Amino acid sequence: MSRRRRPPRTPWVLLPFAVAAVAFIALPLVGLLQRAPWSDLGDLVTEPVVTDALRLSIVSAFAATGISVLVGVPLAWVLARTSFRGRSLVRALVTLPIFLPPVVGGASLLFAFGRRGLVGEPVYEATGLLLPFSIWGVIAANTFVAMPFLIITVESGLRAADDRYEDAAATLGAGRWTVFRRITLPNAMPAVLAGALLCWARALGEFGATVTFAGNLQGRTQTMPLAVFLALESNREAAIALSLVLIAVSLAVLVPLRDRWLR
Amino acid sequence: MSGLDADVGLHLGDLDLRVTLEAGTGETVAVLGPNGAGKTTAVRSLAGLQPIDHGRISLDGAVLDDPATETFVAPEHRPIGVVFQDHLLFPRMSALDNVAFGLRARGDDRRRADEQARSWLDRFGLGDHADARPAALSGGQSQRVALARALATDPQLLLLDEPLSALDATTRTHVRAELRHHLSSFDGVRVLVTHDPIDALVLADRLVIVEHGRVTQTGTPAEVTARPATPYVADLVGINLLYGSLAADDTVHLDTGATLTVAGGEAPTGDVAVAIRPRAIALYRERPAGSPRNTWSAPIADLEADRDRFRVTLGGPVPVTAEITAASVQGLGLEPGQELWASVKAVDIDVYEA
Repeated sequence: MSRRRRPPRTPWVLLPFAVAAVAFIALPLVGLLQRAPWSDLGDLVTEPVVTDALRLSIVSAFAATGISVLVGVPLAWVLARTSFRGRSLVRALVTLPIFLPPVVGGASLLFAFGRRGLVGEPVYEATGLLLPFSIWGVIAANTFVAMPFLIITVESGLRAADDRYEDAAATLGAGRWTVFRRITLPNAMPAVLAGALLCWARALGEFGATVTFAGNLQGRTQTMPLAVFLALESNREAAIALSLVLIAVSLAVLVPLRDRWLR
Repeated sequence: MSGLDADVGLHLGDLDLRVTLEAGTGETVAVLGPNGAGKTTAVRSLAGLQPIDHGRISLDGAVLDDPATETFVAPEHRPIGVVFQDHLLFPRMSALDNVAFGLRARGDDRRRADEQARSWLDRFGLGDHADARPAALSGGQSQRVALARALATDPQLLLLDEPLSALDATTRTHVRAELRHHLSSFDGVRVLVTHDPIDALVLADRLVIVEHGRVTQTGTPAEVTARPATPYVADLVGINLLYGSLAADDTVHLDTGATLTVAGGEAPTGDVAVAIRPRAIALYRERPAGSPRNTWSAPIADLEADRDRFRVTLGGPVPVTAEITAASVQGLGLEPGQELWASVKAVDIDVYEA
């Protein structure tokens, strides 16, 4: 069905505010571009400190997104479709990392999964596995801060979906797993993709929890945001180059997807 | 016993439902009632989507739901096909995949399921639309896909929940006639839920009237219309059913000798029944200007007050009852014996194969 859009009746008083919003976001980017060392850029972005950080950032952001989808979608389903005592408590708990300062998140991770942590200590003694100061620590920190974005997006997508289609599938002989796989999940797919995108973006930019929990070791735990922060102290041009790379990667993912899934 | 034997008792919010429903194999029973009477909830409990609180549901001797013995068969294990209100075709699947869904869910491999689904679509005249998404189908086509999908799993009971309510008035008549035709080819138990008396009168062998969660009357359409038990049922009586013969030029020659022009539809030429709602008939003192094709003059045979409305029964060659407001009775200054002009639009006349 085609809907004809009428021309908008713009309330003009909104315009200066809208322009101010755009300017506030655009100006820092312009500042960055204007200071960019364009002639040395090629050399700067191929330095190991940049390529190591970029690889680590991309790998850990995708890994965190993958883990979030794997466990976050089932949790979103439980929150959207079942009712049990303490559901609102669980919902508050899983959205907490959005409101928590990431540094606090990183410290909490340390107390749980660190070498002396609640879970970390017995695991380390039994297997020798250690999360902090490894890429696993980076992924854990990313997942902790980014997964809530996926969960709340998918949960609201599931709530908005018409669950009568699931009834129809059940009357056709589909068991619960088949209903989920062939009806619920495809119907919620736009929300899952939007949630995954938000989650990925948040993981890519993660700083506080990562530096607290995983440390800042080049080639092992130093992601792009950490490298930028460090370079700002020592080599401003490298910091700008790193930032430009990060912006380019974000835009490359966001621009084709933004209009389709984030509305 | 063979067929459906259901005693449905449940509380859901404000609804207190206590309905018994029996339907034999090869029979179509219409559950007819106003919106909010609990009809859809009753269908959901038969399908296993809403467990009952008390009572018992059995189909062909097998118990499906009995709280007293804690028996409950899950919807996916009941031999029941459902045509839902709005049809609920899976929007991301083709017509073929919709029909094949139940076959695959019940264990057929893909090739076999597709083959069978295709033959169902062919049978319903949808062979050319196998790859179409539901959004690309017309209301009538979507209804046929929904019916094919429900029948493909070879159910013993077919439930139809307001199958025609998603359609606009003009297609409704066509699709209703089609549905009547296709229902007769299914030999299990058929239960139709509707709030539209025409659906019920045209499609059902027996009516079960449900109001406020209780059965208020049951019987054949003829029995119910002859002796309406409640004011709601009395409204059903008002539907004018006339018999005649449909010619190729969309005119119906009534057995009484008069002729009506109809909008044309799926009904084949030959013997037909014609349904006209009392409110679709307009009355005038003088011959109306720019008059619709179906305009005739007739004497008032009877005039009867029914709450805030009047039912005006007309004599003459088109014996129908019109329903008008008390205000228009005063405006027209009506009294029995008086000659009036009556008119009805061709699109307001439903035609069925008799």
